[in-house]
Amino acid sequence: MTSMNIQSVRETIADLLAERGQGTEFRDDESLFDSGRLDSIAAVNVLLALETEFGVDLSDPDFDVSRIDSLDEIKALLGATTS
Amino acid sequence: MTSVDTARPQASVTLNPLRWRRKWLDMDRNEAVLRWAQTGWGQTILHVAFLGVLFLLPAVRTKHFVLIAIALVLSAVLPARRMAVLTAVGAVYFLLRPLKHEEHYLVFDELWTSYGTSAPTQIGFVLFGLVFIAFAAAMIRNQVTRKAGFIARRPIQFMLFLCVGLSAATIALPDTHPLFPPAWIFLAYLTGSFFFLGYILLDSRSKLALPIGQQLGFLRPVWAATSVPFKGPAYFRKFEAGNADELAISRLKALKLVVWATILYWAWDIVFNRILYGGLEFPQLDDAIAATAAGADQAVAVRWAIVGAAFLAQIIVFGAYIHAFVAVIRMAGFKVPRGMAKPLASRTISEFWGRYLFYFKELLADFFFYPAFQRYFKRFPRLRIAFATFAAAFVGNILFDVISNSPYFATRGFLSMIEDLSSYIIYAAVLTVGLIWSQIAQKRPKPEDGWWRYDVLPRVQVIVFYALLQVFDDTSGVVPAGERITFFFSLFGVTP
Repeated sequence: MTSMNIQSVRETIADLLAERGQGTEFRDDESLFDSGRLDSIAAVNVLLALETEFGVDLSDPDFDVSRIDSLDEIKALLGATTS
Repeated sequence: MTSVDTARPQASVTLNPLRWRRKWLDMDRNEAVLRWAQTGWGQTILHVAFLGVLFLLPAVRTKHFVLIAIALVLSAVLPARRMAVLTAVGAVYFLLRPLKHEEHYLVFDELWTSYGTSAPTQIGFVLFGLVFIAFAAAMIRNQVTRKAGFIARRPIQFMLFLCVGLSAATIALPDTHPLFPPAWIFLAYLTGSFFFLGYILLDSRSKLALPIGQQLGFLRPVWAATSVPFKGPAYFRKFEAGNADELAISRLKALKLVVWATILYWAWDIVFNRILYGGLEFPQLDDAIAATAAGADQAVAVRWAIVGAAFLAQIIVFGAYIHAFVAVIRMAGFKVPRGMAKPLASRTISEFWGRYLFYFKELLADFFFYPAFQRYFKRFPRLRIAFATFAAAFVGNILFDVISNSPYFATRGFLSMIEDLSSYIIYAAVLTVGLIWSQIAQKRPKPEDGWWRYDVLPRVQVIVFYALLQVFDDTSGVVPAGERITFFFSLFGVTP
């Protein structure tokens, strides 16, 4: 996991927030989906970005979107998946 | 305090309506109002005001207003037991109003009396309701224990198979057969609660899952008005007010939203219902479609005006009802997002779909889009999104209505019901193509494109797309699909 990859995911999230007319600033521990800032379709875009940037397979049918609710949780998930 | 402060004029009471509007909209961020909303008087006045405004909406007043009032008042009196109160009232609501369509209640009444009982039909609702609750409890428990592996892995598919089997049985069996009444009644209960139970099952392994007994209250939460659930119990727990401040904010937001819902409703009723369609006798869309098919000669501009008026009226009245029920959820202490948020401001087709009917879109995403996205075409990102969109916007969209209406197969005839859906199939197909194009290929406008290409043109294109699409947005079959196609082409001057 590189800081460049994480920066790319951060930019994807910022773009999704902008598309929904929201401010593009967010903290690493800030809730994105549970808070309602982003919806389920946006989650798919984040999942795609994670698969593209990190080459991980998050396609488990039981995968819960709440596991990528914040950038911190995304980092933790990627740490667990790639280790 | 500085000399500058003392020299500043005292704030005076203003009559400027824009300033009052701003104060109203900002009241859930006003410290003084927040403190007041937490006092005994504040809570009382908020509840009286909320219920008083809610009562002005006929869609709530004529249905389950009393249950909503009981749930909200008890939740306020027993804040520590809010979830238990909502569960209990939800269970009562489910036992009293378990079915989706009014016509289903008439069939239930006939079947209940066919058992030769003179007991009131309500007793039958409670008895069959308890049987269905036992079934739902077994399904939820199985999600945790995973004893029946296939059902635990694929709970929604299992319920779908059950619907298909019961529908086939009700079609095949004569209504005098002793197995017909239980098969039809279970089908009516299952289809009326399909997506409510579905959400409970999807949520049951969540870290925020409620105890099984409380999950059952979400078979028909008190804010439910149609067969579109506003998500499942775990979702509500995420938005539950965690302290007195958050609860006050949630209630103030509820009051603002229910007032907005009432304004929208009465605007619709006065402008469209009473003046445009009443006093001025401007044609309604379905009447105009039927008239065009019958050979009526109307100017193309008038037809476009009919489409535009119907589209605007539909958005306003849908917005009123969705806001009202989301307001009830917020008043109960769950600060969930709105169900409709400025749809006419959308710049892309997919953005409109998310802004217009947020919770229906979420339902299609949760039950159809995600599962397809997680399983198919993983190596082809664009095809993957396109197929998942097809699964949600076309398959899911149609299946939603087929499931809800499947008790009609036995009473109205299977082929007749499918024929009634033909217009909606066109609607879902065009919507699907539009959404796929929007997600994969539509260029997202940017501010640097300029006022016309950023603020005006994209919005006009989206509005025209959905306004035209509503010509086919019908599952009743009262006006046939062929007549709708004829009307659609007549909008462009093409007549047979």
